[in-house]
This record gives sequence, C-alpha cells and structure tokens, in this order.
Amino acid sequence: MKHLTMKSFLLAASVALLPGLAVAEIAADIQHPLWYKEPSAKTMEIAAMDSIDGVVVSDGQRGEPGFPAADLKLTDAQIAKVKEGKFTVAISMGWLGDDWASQQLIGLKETFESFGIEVVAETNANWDDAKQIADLEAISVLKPDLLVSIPLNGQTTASAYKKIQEAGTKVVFIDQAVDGMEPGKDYAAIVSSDNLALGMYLADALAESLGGKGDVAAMYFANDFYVTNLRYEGFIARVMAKYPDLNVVAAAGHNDPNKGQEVAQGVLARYPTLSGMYASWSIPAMGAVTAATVAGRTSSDFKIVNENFDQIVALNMAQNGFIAGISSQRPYDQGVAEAKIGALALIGEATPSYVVVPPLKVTRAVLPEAYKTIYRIDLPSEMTDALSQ
Amino acid sequence: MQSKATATGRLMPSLPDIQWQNYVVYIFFVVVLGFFAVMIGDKGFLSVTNLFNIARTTAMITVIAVAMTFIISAGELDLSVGSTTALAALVCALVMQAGYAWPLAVVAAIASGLAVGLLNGVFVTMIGIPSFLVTLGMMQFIRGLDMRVTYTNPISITNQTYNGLFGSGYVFGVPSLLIWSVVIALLGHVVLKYTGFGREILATGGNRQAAEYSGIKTRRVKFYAFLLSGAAAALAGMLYAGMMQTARFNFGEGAELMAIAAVILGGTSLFGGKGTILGTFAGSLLIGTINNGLIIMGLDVSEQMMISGAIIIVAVAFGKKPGA
Amino acid sequence: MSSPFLQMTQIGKSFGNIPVLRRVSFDLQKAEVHALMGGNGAGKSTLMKILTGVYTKDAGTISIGGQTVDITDTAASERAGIAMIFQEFSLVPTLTVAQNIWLGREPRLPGTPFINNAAMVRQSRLILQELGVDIDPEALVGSLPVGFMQIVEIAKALSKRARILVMDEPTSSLSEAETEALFELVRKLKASGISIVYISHRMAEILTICDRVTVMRDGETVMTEPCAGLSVARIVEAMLGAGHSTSFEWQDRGDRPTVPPILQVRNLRLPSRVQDVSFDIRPGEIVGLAGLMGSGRTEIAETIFGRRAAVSGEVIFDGQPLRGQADAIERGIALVPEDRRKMGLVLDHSVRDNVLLPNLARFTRHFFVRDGEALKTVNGTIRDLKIKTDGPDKLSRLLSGGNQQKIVLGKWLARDPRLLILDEPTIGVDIGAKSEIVATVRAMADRGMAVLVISSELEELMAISDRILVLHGGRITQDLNRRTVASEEELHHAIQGHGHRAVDAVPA
Repeated sequence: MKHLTMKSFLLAASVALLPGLAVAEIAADIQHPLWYKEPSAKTMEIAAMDSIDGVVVSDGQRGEPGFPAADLKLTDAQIAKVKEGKFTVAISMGWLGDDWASQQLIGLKETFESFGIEVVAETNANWDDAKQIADLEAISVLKPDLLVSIPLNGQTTASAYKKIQEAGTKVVFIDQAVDGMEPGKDYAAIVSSDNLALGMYLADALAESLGGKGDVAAMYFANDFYVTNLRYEGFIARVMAKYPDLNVVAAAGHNDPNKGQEVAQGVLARYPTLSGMYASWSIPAMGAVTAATVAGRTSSDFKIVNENFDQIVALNMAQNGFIAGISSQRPYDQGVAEAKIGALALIGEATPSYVVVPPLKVTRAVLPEAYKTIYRIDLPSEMTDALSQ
Repeated sequence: MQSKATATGRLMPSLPDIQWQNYVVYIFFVVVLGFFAVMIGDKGFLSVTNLFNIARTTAMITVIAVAMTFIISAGELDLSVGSTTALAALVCALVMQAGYAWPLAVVAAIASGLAVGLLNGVFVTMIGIPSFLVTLGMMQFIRGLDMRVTYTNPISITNQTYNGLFGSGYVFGVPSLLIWSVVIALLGHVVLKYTGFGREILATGGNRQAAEYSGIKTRRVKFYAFLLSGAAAALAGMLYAGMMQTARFNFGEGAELMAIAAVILGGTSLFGGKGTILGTFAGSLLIGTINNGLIIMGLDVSEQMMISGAIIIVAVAFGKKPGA
Repeated sequence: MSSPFLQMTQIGKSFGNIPVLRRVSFDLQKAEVHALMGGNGAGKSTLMKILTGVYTKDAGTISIGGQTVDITDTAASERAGIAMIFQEFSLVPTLTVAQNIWLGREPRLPGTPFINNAAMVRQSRLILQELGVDIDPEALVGSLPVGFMQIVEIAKALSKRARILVMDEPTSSLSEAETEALFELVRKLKASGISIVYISHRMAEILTICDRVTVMRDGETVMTEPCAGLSVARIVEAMLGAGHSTSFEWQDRGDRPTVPPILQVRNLRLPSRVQDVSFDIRPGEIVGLAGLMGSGRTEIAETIFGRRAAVSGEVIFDGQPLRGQADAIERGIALVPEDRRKMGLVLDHSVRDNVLLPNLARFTRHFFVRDGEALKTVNGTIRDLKIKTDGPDKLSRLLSGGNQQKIVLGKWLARDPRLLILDEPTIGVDIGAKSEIVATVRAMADRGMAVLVISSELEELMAISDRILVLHGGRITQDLNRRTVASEEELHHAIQGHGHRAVDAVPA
C-alpha cells in the first residue's frame, strides 16, 4: 500500500509540474533560440546600409577578415606541380540529400579531377556527429594527403580531425573549423558562404515581396549549428536595422527538417494574419508551403523565403507559389574554392585562412539567370513553362 | 514475485469491474486536449484548421502504427517501416515522373512495401532471425536504397489528382488524410478484433507454443503480419508524398519509433498477445496533439521534447496495472 | 505432544468481502513433516502466503518457538526462519550453484565491495555436504537435472538459516529416482531439526513421508491427524466432503466391441529413445502409456499429433497415414500437452479465447468470427466441464491449475475429437478437478472416442485405463489388460524394466 501511494503521489506531482513549466514559458512573446547572441556593432552597422552588394559581412570565427573566393587563382606552374604530386583526397560530408551538398560535391570532384587529385573516400555522416567521428576514423586509415570536410559539431569531432591532421593530412574545412585547431598551422582554410550576408539577403527578399511591412515569423533550425545561427542573426539584424515596419512576431524552431510542416502549421494556427516567413532550408520551407496551403492562404497574401536554391523550391517560385525569395549559396563555387585552396596547401603555398563565397539573391524575375549561375545549365522546361504562365 | 496460479481463481483481490488502466490513453487524450483548449484555445489551437492539422500530421504515423499493432501483438517488431515509407514514396513519384498514370504508381508503391514485408517475413519466419535484427538491418538497407535510387534528390509530384487523393485534398470539407487514417484504423480494428486472423495474431503473440499446439500456423500468421506492415508503410509513404507533393529519401526517419510509442501508449503489450487498434489511434492522436499544442504555446524545441517525453512516460506509467 | 514450534491460531483473511480463510489454525512441531492438503480454493496457498509474508493476515496470531511474531512482509518471514521452496524454481540457470545460493547476499572480501568467491564456494560446499548431496557448487544451475535444482533451493533456504521449509508440490516434476532422493533429503532435514510444511496432491507420497496431515476445505481446517494408520479414502473424503463421487476408482468398462482400430502405430522409430513402437487403439478404448520420464512417451504422443517427424515407421489413422499436424487436427486428433501453461494455454487470454483457439475455423465465416455462436460453445464447455470461472471473459491466468487443465481439455472436446491424447493430464490438479476430468474422459470414451493417456502417476493410469502399454528401452515391452494388473507395484516393476511378461494378446 505504501508503494502505491508513493507512486500515485509522484505521478500526480509530475503531471502538475508539466503545465506549470509550460505556463511559465507561454508568457514570453518572441523567444529567440537558446544559442542566439545579439548582433555585433559591426554587423548592425552593415545591416543598416542601403545596399550590401559586394560587401563581405562575415568574419571568420577568430575575427579574421574574409577573402573573396573569386580571387583565388592557381598559376599553370602550380597546377603542374599539383598534378606531379599524385595526391589523394578524402571528403567527409555532414549530410547528403540536398542540392547544396550535391553541387558542392560536383564542384569539388570536377576541380580535383582537373588537378589530377584522386578522391579516395567520400563519407556521409547523415547529421550525426558520432557517425562523422567514425567516418573520420575510417578515413584516417587511408592516410589521404588532403581532407575536405564540414564538421557537424565543432567540439565533439575536434579530436578526430586533430588525429588526421597530426598524421600529416592537410585539412580544408567547409563552413566552420573545430575547436583547438589553428588556421595556417593545423588546417589550411575554412571556406564558407557569407552566412550573415545570406541572412540579410533573406530579410531583403522578404521585405521586398511584402512592400516592407507586415507581421512575419522566423522558423529556425533549433540545434546550435554555426552557419544557420549566423543566417538567423543576419536576418534579425537586417530587419531591426533596415525594416522598422516588418515585425517578427514569432520565432519557432525545428530540430528535424521533416518537422517543418508541423511547426509552420502551429505558427500559422496561432498567427492567422501572418504575412510572411523565413524558413531555414528547403525541406522546412516546403513544409511551410504545405502548411500555408492547408491553412487556406494564397501566394498573394503569404510569402516564404529560404536559403536553399533547390529544384522543388525553384519550381514553386516559378509556379508563382509561396516561395517569394531565395538567398542562395553558391555551393558549386564553394566546392571549387575548397578544391583550389586544398591544392595550394598540398604544394606548400600560403593560403588565406578564411575564404568567403558571397550569396546570390534569387527572385522570380531573375530565376533563369540565377539558375544558370548556380547550376551551369538552363532552367528545366517545366520551370520555364511555369514562368511563362 | 513467483506466485502460482493454484488457489487464486476466485480468491483474487476483487477489482472494480472497469479497469481504468485500459482507458488511460483516452483519459490522457481528453486531459491534454482540455488543457490546451484552456491555455491556448484563443491562440488558434481550437480552430478547425488546426485540429485538422493535428489529424493530418498524425495520419502517417497512425497508418504505420495500425499495422505495428498487429506486429507487436504477434510478439514481433518492425523497425523497417520508416525507410519503407520513403521507398514507397519514391517509387510512386518515380513511376509518375516516368509518365505513367497515378493508379499504376500506387500499385507499384504498394508492391514495393509488400516486397519489404515479404523479405522481413522470410527472414523472420523461415530463417528464424529475431525480427528486431532483421528489421533493423532492413531499415538501414532500405534507407540506403532510397538514397541510391534518387542520389538523394527530391522528386516532385505534379499530378494533382494524386496529391488531392492522398495528401492535400478534402472530401466534403474533411481532409483526405484524416479520412485515410480513420478508415485504416477502423479496418485494423475490425480485423484484429473480429476476424480469425486477428485472433490468431493475438494467440501467436500471447503464447506461440500454445497456439501451435492448437493448430495455429504461427509462422504463416507472422508472415502475413509483416506483409501487412510493409503495405501499411507504403500507404503511409504515399500519403506523405501526396501531402508534400514531393518524395524524398529521408521521409519517415524516426517514424518507426513514433509508431511504436503510439502502439504502447494505446495499451498494446510490448510482449505480445494483447493489442488494441483504437488505443493505438488514440495514442497517435495524443502524440500529435501534444506536439502541436507545445508548438503553438511557443516553447523552445528543447522544452517541447522534454515535456512530450515526460507525458509519454507518465501516461504509460498510469496505464500499468498494479502488480502486472 | 510437546508445545508446537510454529503455531498459527485463528487466522482469518478476506479479499474484498470474500472470506478466504475463516479462523484457520495450523501447527508444526519441531522436526516434523506436516502435510497440508486441500482442493484448489481450499485456502492452503493463501495460508502459506501469509506465513511467508506475501499476504498479511486480517486476524489471528502466529508464534514461533513460543514467541508471537509479526510477519508484515517477506523479509520479516525470512528473519523468522521461514523459507518457501518454490514449485516453479526461482533459480537463475546461467549462474552457478554457489552464486544462486548467495544471490543478493554474497559474502564480501573484508573491507571491499568485491565478492569473496572462494568463501561463497566454500560455504556452499559445506551446506551441500551437510545435505549429503554431491553437487559441485561451481556448476551452472542450468546444467543440473531438475531434481538437483530443488536441492539447490533447499540449500539456499538453509544458508539463510531457515528453520521452517514450505515445500509446494516438490515432486511434481521429479522422476521416481529423484523423488526417492528427495525423500531421503527430507528425512535428513527432519533429523537435523528442520520442520517442513509439505503441500502435495499425491496421497501415496504423503503417507510415505509425512508425520501428520492437515486437510483444508473452503477456507477451514477440516482434519488434522497423524499419518500412521490413515487411509487414502479418509483423506479424500475429508478433502471432498462426505458423499462425493468416487470416479477416481477404476471402473471396468467391459470389453470393447470388436471394431477395427482407429489408430495404428507401426514400427515407429524416433530420433529420441524410441526404437520400434507399435500399438493399436480402438474407438471407445482408453489406453494408458506407462514409462519412465524420458522414455519417449511425450515424443510418441507428439508424433501421432504430427508435431514431430518419425525416422521410420508410420502412424495410420482411420485407415490413412497421417500427414502432419494440420492433417491430424483436421481428422480429429487432439492433444492435451504435458505443460499446460507453456503449451496448452495463452495465459493472458480469456477462457473464451482459449477454448476458441483450435475452433476458430469452425466459427469463422467470410473472415469474421461469429462470436455469438462461439459463445454458446464456450458456455457449453464451461458448464459441461464444470470450469470454475466468473465468466468466459476471465483471464485463464487467474484460474486454478485444475480449471486451467479443464480449459485445455475443453477446447479440444469442443471439436468432438475421435482420438484424444492426454499427456500428464493431472499434474498440479487437485483431487476434485482430477476426478471430474477422469469422469469426463470416461463419458467421452463411452461415446466412442479413443483415448491415449500418458502419466507418471501410476495410480492415475490404474484408475482410468482399459489397457496399459509399458514403454521400456524404446519398445512397448508389455501390453496389459487392466483387469490382469493386480497392483500399482506390479506396474511399477514393469516400467522399471523388471519382470517382463509376455506381451498379452490384444484383448478381444
């Protein structure tokens, strides 16, 4: 009997606590993500500028200024030297499954091939840093001359990278470095999109489609992920500094891109008059598209912007759907830049430690050109058909 | 406690006639719904659109969980359903992309699900490998296949008849996804409760040896359960694809665990022999309602996860029979 | 008589408002073996659960060695020196004997949290030696014969300095030789001053080993008497109440009419010990199959039922060879298996679902089970077999052993089988249910059903069979007309392989 009452008491207490916790939280209006930091003075200064075209906004994690990717060049003599080396490279990706990753890989592989560098391993950690550590350990056995990789987590994977570097492999990081490794010494460079600028372009695109005013929401990736953190920060900074009539009324996180629809549904249910949304990545953005459709919204009164220029988002934009603006990275160019910097490092050349690839703003009006820029092929016919309607 | 059945027949402590533990999932569902109605009813939670939202997002899990109830009741487990949803969605989208009519795509998708079920069934019932391992391996294999087939690219589905029927459409103002999940749940309920196959499933899970000594072909019964599970996962995948108007290799990641949670919350025994489809349906809706309500409350993802995890544990704890 | 070591006085217990024990008194002398008997539901299990602290009593007192003790839980019972030797063994098969004996109380190396394995083994060896048994304390329990497991249980109890042992059906799964060894052990324990409460349904056993018998019925003690000079009839009468039927005595059912046999087993050879077995059974005949544990009796039964394949030989049923279990069931063979909890019942399912299990096809039309129709059959089974249950929806787990066995029997009888095979049908079944089962089987046989009964209880075979086959060394060594078997001893000798008689001519 004693046990029974104890159990009932515990259960009752825990049931009572849950709503209590929930009530305490419900009061807060817009709740920034747990990792959110106020934008720096420099960021706010740039955010207030009328046009940010051609401005490198992001600094490296250590405050180093960004080196524009377009300025990276290899001389013929350098290329010949790379070819002579018969180098090997391993590529460790954090995930696959979107155009960003595929285009990046294409850029990397094409460039490596032109330099005569052999790709000996290619791994996909599928968003799991533990899996990435295992992948890196497998790669270390192959002893490649070069490793190009996007660390999923700057802390947990650090020692795995360190081990590979200590065995004599040169390392080029995509987007972020890991803790405890020094630029120039432990790794050649970080090659990254200008993520703050990317976020600001998103704000621009959303403001443009809404005429600069209205209630909007931001749906962010809830995990502490360096590049998406910066985009969110850039988005918020730009809205605060440049668009006083754009109100961010809700910020909601998703921890799994497949849950985008569920989260967007909730936000739309709570704010039925919402006129726009920034949705991090294309899968959540398409989830938001579905959520808006079922909520009975139309593309004339609800706009979505996102930062992945992939086929389904582009098609939606071409069809005059909810997707009003895309702040695109240039994954192919980024892959090329990574390969180039890797090649330079392999022959012992000095390299800039932080290389920045600027974003590209895509709207329906410039869709064909933008598509050609990013994918190096013409817009698919179904999109051209949709555009002409 | 090592008690013996002797002499306990009519001497068991007399329990109230209605064992409320059997209904705990319904009670929780009502309580959670009531709680959200009071707290955020004015913030859009109670709007018809939002209630339909809940039904829509849970439809896929419900369909998977209905078949999972059969699997678990038969004393087995199927972890491959999540990747099978993606496989079927991709097959469906690819067939349509290749220019065939949507009914053919539907048949092909169901066939892909059945094929996975068939393989699971063969390995479990004929070769005798524990289903946990077979389906764990199958989960990986199929997910890899999903990636390989499409090089991880999404495939959009432009056939609006298909999309309307399987995902985003309405029938008399009711979302088609809600209709699908209700129909599948009712069908499952009737089959488990009122057909010979349902009884055989429960007997097989309750005591396989006794069922065999009674002439039940338990291997065949389990085999059919795996086929059923594969087909249900395929249907879930098609619903997913219809809703998103796209198919993608990473659909249904983690869906197997959500489905198992819905089944157990609903009151089905994880050890087999006792299963209820209506409970499963309520379990699935409960999970969906909690997720939706917590989002509308505006909670951080970490808090949402803590609260929904805690509610699941508490609900299962309440459902546990004393001494059982 | 000296003052008793254990005295339970005026014990009362109710569950809800159902009284289960009404002022029961029970006492146990030092170094006494005291049998506790009674049908299922008589209250003996409840009484013992109160003694071992599983239940708490509502009324009455318990005193040990003259001191009143308050047994509030199992730990208190253990402190009072009481230990239960479980019928279903509570040992961990993957641990050694010593590890099992000291499970949860392992001696430690002084001042450390580490287990002192040497001491554990040494102390275990000591206890086992005292018991006069040759068991290696370092052997895995799972590798021991069943009989030894019980001894390990006893050793475990003694290691806790138990003075009172409660043994619940200790011989139900033991062979003859193991039973003999256990009796030897019980005598030894007694000599060393241990008192034993001995629960059993086996009369002969009780009269052999016990000093006194207490019989309970309907929550009351109805008899407590010394065993010396007590007759089985007297005990049975006490258990059943006066004027109960005597169906457990053998009834000569007369000669069977000369009809062709329904079952013909021909030169059966199995992968186990069965070498060359042939016999016939005619419709309406009850044939007993006697033999030692492990002699292959169960294997023969399962081969007839189609669950096992023969190496050679054949089983012909109604003129046609049998092809597998589905065919066997289809053509009217039923098997009530050896272990009803494992093979006979889905314990967590209701009486109704269990009875329906082999009959599903009959009640299924267009995939749907006709529950209304089925319920009539189930209610008929409950009524005909006198299954004591609150209703068809009661979980079979909650019924007594006897009633559970009636469900297993009932689910097959509902198919109206032409051959019924009973494998150890009355293990753990109280005398009341036992005689009801025997009566039912007899009645069915009278209507033409053929019956094959396997039992280790010769008393039972003697009571029910028209003819007894003796299985020894993989062959049927004797085929005895029951009328010609004078006593259990004679049969006993036969199954041990002594005193081969020429196989009788098949009785006309």
